[in-house]
Amino acid sequence: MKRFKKIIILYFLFSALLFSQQKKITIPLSFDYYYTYDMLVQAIKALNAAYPKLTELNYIGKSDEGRDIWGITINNPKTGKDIDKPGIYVDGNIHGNEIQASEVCLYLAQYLLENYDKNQEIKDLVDKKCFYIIPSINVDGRFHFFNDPNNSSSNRSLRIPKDDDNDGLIDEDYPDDLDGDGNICLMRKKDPFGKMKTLPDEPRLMVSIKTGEKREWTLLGTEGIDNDEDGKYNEDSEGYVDGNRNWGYNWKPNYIQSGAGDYPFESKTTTAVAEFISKKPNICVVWAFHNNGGMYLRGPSSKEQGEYPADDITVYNYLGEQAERITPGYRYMISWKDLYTTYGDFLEWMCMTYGAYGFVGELFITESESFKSIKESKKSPESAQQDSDSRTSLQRERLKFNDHLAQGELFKDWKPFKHPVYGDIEIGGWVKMSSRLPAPFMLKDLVHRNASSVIFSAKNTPEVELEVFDVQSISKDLYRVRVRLINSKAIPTMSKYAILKKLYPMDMLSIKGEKIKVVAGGKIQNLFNNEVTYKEYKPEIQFTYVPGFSKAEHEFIVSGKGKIVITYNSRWAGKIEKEFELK
Amino acid sequence: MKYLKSFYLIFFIIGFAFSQKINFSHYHSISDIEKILNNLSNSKIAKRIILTKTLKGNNLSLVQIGNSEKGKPAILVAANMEGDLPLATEASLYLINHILNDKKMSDDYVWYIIPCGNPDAFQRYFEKPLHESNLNFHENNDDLDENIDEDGCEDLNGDGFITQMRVKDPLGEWIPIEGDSRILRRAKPERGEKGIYKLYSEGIDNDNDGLYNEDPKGGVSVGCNFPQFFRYFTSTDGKWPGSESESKSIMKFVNENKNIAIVIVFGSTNICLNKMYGGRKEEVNTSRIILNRRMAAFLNADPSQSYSLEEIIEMVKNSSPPDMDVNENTVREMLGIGSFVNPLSEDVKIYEEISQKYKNFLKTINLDFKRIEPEKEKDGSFEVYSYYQLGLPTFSLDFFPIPEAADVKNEDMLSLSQIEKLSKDEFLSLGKEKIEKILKNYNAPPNINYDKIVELFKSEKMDVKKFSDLLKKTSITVEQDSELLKMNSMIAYGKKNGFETFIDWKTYKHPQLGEVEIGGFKPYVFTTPPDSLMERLIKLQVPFVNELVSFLPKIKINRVEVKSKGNGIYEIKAFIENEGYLPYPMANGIRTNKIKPIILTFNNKDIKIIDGKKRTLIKKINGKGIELVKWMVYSDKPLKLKLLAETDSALNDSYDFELRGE
Repeated sequence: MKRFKKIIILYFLFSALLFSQQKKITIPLSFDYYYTYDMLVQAIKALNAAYPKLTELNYIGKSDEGRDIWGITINNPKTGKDIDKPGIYVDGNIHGNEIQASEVCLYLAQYLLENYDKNQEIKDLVDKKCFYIIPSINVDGRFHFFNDPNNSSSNRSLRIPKDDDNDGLIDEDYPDDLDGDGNICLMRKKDPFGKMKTLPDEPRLMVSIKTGEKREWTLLGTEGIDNDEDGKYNEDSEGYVDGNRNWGYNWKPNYIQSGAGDYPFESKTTTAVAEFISKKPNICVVWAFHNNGGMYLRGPSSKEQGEYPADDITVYNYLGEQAERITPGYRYMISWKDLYTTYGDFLEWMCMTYGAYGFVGELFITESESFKSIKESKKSPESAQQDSDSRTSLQRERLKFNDHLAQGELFKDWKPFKHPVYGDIEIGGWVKMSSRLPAPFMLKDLVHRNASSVIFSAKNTPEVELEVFDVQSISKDLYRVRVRLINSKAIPTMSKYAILKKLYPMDMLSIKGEKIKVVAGGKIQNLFNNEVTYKEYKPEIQFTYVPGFSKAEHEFIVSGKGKIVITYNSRWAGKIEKEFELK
Repeated sequence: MKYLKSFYLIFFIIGFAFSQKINFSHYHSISDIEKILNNLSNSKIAKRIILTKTLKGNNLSLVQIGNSEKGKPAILVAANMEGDLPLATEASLYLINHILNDKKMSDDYVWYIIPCGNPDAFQRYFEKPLHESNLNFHENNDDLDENIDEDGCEDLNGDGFITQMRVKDPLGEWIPIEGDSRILRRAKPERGEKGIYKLYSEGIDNDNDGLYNEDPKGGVSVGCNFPQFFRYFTSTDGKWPGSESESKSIMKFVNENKNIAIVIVFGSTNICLNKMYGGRKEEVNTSRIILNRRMAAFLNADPSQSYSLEEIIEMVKNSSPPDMDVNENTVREMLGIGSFVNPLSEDVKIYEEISQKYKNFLKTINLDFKRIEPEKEKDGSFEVYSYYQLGLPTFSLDFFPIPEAADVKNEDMLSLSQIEKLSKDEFLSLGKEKIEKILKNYNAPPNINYDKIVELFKSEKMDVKKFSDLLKKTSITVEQDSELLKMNSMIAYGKKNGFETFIDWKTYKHPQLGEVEIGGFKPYVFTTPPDSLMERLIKLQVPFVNELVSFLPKIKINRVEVKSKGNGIYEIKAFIENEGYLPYPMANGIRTNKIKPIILTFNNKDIKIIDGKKRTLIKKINGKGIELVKWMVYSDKPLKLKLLAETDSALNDSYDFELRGE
């Protein structure tokens, strides 16, 4: 049986290879179709090959099923090493079914690269910053989403076999593609005692009956058979460790949150990505793309953590509210409060253990599959989603969208099928490449807008200038030297959170000279009143940080003469050196 | 019966002594242990598995004894997870030796024994100077300055031990205790005391930042690097649970080996003597839960009202499809109130019973004296991870009970529980001097003096109970006193057994601090008895492992009854029994959903089941309990059948029977 499985996998690999050879990946990449795993790898490599001077190919590691995870770094080595610049980390597709997240990553990479020589703003951005892009984290999930029968929500998890229903058998009851069309749709059965009826004007849709109405259908659930004959259908599919619940911050076990895995970083996939990130301490902004709902989420991801420090919230609001404008319809929200609580997710791990700022981008809004004239949309009131009527009207509209903009490709009409247990049933409903994924013609708009949200935050990573603004002689051979660090961007050189939780040493400002002795040094709290807090030991090294759109000022009392070097060293904002002479 | 038991034990201990191959006259270093573990390959039933290599290149080893077969219970013994407990490692070696010499032990069980969970820290015990530490060698910038691991301790006086330095200082916080000027305690400014000394660990301020030995080599305390109650943002416990390869590889092993039936930790806690620590605050009060709007709408409930968890479970059941499995866990997950943070009451009962058995055991080996309390389970420790997340019965043993010394200084000081038992007259008859001493000792508020007390008692505004309750609140001395008691007891024990526990203070000219005194308790002295005492302590105490193992659940098919209902229809009744003392699983195993149910199947796949399941899952059978399972089947001719009962860690069983018409 195992061997048989292997043969199947080999077959799929082979056929995928054939398929990808047919579809040659060329630069510029196009964004009117979705990239399979193999095409995605080719695309990353093609970008690297087309722009070898600005990119570096990163082999992240092997996935849980042994596939290669690839990333690409965009950095101009002529302007400095990657880790000496503010790092922007972007990934996607940590959930196997959320495939368009990878297209956002690819698009971002291509956009930055192809405009480097054409657009001064992009050139400046690429020269000053560094982008780490991993388009697909859950490569196994992506592979199986394309190659196996699925619906738009299935095949999310990492491919670590788990006994989801705790019955002693592992991954034994998965959905089955009974009609062999590559989609896992729904099953329904004509039933005079059922709880559903079809809509008279739209027989593809079913709604719950009201008391007294004629009963027509029973909805049986997702397409499949009860493989393990335990009375439940499709309850133990392949996986289930959720890639976005297996990280090390505030991780909680599976019984509290399913998908957690047995312990943090149980997965090879998450471990490989974490190892890559651990070598990039310069990452200050994180974007992780998912689908769907049209949201830009920030942490905290659970209530028990309490709110972030006010200074950090100011930064989040600045970036988040701008992202809302860049992508109309998307809402900037707080993860636990406005969506739901999660533990051990990736973003929180980045924010809490590395002190970065981060967003989850939930791509795609179902309502964007609209089919209404201006007049019609004015008529229908925008009512809340939870009442079943508005849900039905959305479905109806999406069906029209399907009929007239996708020529029926998104919805599979109900067709009779003989089920081994249920007997005569019908199979039908939304197909795999629908519902959470935009129709290909809408993809370009989605990837461009979301890449633009990333670019705005990238532009706002810290840029620090150092000026020696005041040198005064106090007495013979004794000088007061004042240094100012100015950050012209919104993101500080260290998050408030990182400072409060002591995640790593603060930025360092130091003064050196062969013929000098540093008598005292401290932070200028109030320049006008000459208030300085002196550092008792080792005044030549000052620990500091520079808030967004702001400054930090320090003072040194120095005795001696000659050449002096002032060095500023920051994990995020890089290294600055300034020389001058005391005469 | 009782005699028989102690006889059995004595026999056992003698058996140990004779079969011994490893020499326990001294503590084994890492290289000694490597030799012992390498020699295991000569044995057919034992093997060494290297779980990981540490940053220092040490092996984190696990010894497997006995072949693993489906259902055969495995016992995980995790010793010295902290790394600074050589005695625990010795105990594990002793256990290995014993199992190798007792075939039945490896026939009946699989043993997974980790001699040391933190080999890098362990290595420090065999290095000079001796410096007590439970940290591995993961680089760590403790003081967040420009250098990493730049300011550790130095053996300034060259005596081979890292002890302490005390310096007379007007800002000092420490004073000597009454009766022994060597021992220091914190001064209590609220009682008008003024500190005399500043206290440092031995060494110089290598990086000239005014702090002494604040950024030593390493590291992470592997023993606190597990996910349950993990403490984030400390300088010692790691960045996240499992951030160290030691802890991560151990978690990988214990999760992959579902045959583990019980976890026994050899360390600094004793979850045989004391039941597991409880009393943590629940995250959510489960009797008064307020639903958010969305959830309330879904359940047709009132968001302004509070509900009990049980009520909500009922509501969820009513709003869900009938075949959906709605249980406490699923509902807790929906509401985001998942964790349990205290031992579950069913389990506590079991722990109490076993504690009684352990105390009886201590009597038989004459170690039942009043001792210094073992440590409480630490947050992030393997013990709490095992209980709260693996869902396994979890026990622990420490092996160095220090007898509690009579408190010389406070001999005439009544304890609060003693005071509580006095009558009003008895109390007042103590007299002014004694009562004032009591007031001082328990830090009573200044406005309560002897006269006030007498007045309050006479006007019956206060009684003895109220008085002692008041003192309980004001007394901040309790913790400090237990620390003092521990130190006094240690010194007394050393004196009695002829070994040095304390290095007397001697003056030393410190390059930065000027004149200091160096001295204090020897490193490791509280956890690690001298070589000469070590063997006896483990020889006496390790055998309790046998008793713990004897409690394990054993799943058996007691009998199968078949009743013909005519027309080829039969009713089958199976009585599934747990012959062991412990339930299968314990309550924590049910909550964590980590233990597989007992699975019943028939060997004949063609059997036509009319009512009942092909695979019947039994979630739980109590210790010494029986569960009844019924099927209705059809067979048109007589049929020989076998019923199989399978478990991951509580044995397998089968039962042959026949369907036969009347």
